[in-house]
Amino acid sequence: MKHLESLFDRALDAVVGMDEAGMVVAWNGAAEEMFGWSRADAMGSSMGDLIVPPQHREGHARGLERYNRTGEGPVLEQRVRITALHRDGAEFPIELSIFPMPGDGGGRIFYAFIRSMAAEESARRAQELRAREGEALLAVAQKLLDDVSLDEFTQFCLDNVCAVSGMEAGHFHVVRGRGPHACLHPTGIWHLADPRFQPVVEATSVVRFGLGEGLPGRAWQSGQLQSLDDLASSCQFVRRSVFEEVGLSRAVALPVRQGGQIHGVLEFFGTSKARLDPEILRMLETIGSQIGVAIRRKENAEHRETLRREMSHRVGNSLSVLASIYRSCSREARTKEELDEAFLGRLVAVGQANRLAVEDASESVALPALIEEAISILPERNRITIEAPDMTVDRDSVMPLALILNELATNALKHGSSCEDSRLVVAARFGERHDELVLEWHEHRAVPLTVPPPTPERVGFGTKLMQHMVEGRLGGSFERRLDETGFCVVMKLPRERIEALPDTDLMA
Amino acid sequence: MRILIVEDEVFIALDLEMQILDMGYEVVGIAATKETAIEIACAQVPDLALVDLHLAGPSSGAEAAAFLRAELGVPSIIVSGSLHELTELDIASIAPVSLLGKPFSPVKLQAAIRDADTGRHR
Repeated sequence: MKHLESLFDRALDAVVGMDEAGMVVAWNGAAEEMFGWSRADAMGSSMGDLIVPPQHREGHARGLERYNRTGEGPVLEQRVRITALHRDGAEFPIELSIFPMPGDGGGRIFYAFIRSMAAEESARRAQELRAREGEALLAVAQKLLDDVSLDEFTQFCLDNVCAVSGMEAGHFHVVRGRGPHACLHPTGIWHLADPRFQPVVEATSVVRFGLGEGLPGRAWQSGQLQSLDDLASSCQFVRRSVFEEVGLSRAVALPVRQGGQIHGVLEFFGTSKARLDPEILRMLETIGSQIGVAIRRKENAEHRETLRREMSHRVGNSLSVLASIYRSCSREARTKEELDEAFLGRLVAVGQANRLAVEDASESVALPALIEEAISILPERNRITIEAPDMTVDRDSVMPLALILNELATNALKHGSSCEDSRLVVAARFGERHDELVLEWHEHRAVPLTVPPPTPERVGFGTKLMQHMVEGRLGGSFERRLDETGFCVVMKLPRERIEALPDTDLMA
Repeated sequence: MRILIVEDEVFIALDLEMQILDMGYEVVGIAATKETAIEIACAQVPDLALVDLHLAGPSSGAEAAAFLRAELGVPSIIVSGSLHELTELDIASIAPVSLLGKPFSPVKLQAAIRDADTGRHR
């Protein structure tokens, strides 16, 4: 028996023995390692207190008592799957089999061979998570091919991630604005597993996170997944009282990246049941990054579609526009040459303005550049003075401004050829209260006329065009003066209409 | 007859204005968006509106025309390059006086406007 004992001592599985009173009488090396109790500490202690988890102790005691009384033991000599307790209090899955043996002094000793299933359990879980991750990614990829809106797609992604990760609420924040003004805006797209979580939607709708602020802000700044295990005790979590009330106590924030830039942050919330162990976090990170790419792709597709429709609308109109321009020029022209010049001149101007407004739309246009572009059709650049602040023009105002400036330049070209030595001054400055731009276009005759030029009966098409653009489109005022000294137009344009704001963003 | 032009393409709008003035009618204003159209219509209460279906950005000419008809009793002539986009529901709520495709011929436009004029007095 002695050499068997030393053999068992070296066994890979834990081998323990217990007498009829439930006290430990055998404890091998593997048991020491598995349960964290040395042989010296274990021997003579109660097995139940040592390794049986609290919820199973009563059953263990009753089973022992029953066998002692009746000789029956249903769990004996078969594999049983149950959990056991480590000295540090951690519970882990085991597989065991129990064999009663006659003891040396009569009575029975119960020997048990015990195997820890913890490693298998964790491998199984990792495999399951990987399978779920694969399914989620496949579902998202397939959804991307469907013809759904960006919002629906985001909603689908949130629903999916929550389902595979056991989180009960999810939300998407998007970055708006550029530079120091940039911050995270709630999109209002939420997954809520339970309608009782609704208050968190309102609580989040009013918050805007800057870089580094709050959980989403930190995920944005660090570019990494951030998690909080206990929202109620995190003073950094500004929305904690609302979340606490509805029972959401765990949170994960994930930056959404594309092309090296962070475009948004996904947030997921769980109750205390949610497991935020490394495997889940790793899975969230993988799915999250793929979703990030997908969302960005969807956004770009929608944006391209919008642009395409806009372009299509403009192009579709162009035949009508051509016809209208021709008719307008035709009404005023007195000779065929005048008509040719006016019509073709206007076409060039419209083409230029269109190009600036539509094709180069991704770059911002500065006011001085717009003025330069317009006067480029005039010869003798040295007779032209331009003064303008370096203001960036809002996208929607580029076309009207370009048309106005082109019209003025075309006009100057037409009349300039008939009087040499005239000087052109284009001066733009901010008005007294700084809320408007005052633009003056002044053609000075070198030699004033003796009498003022005749006023035409009807307002010319060019003047109408400019007036409509300034007053109708840009909300400004338009003044025109034609006298013996020359020609002058003064426009006052509200800055809030024509100036591009620093936080203009494609995604707005 | 006092006419409101709802058209976002400035050259077409100014051309329409000239044609209407040449016909001897009055133009109460030119609106490029649905909101401006409603604003001017409420202030000026025109007798007729010339409405393009496609206005800049998200603005809807169809919605403007429907509003004008429902709230102000102002009829519209729809002038558009995308008449095929009009649904039956749109036509029901706008009840346009006539539909003109783009590019329109000035002759057809004149006829449509004169019809609207005579229709008024009936």
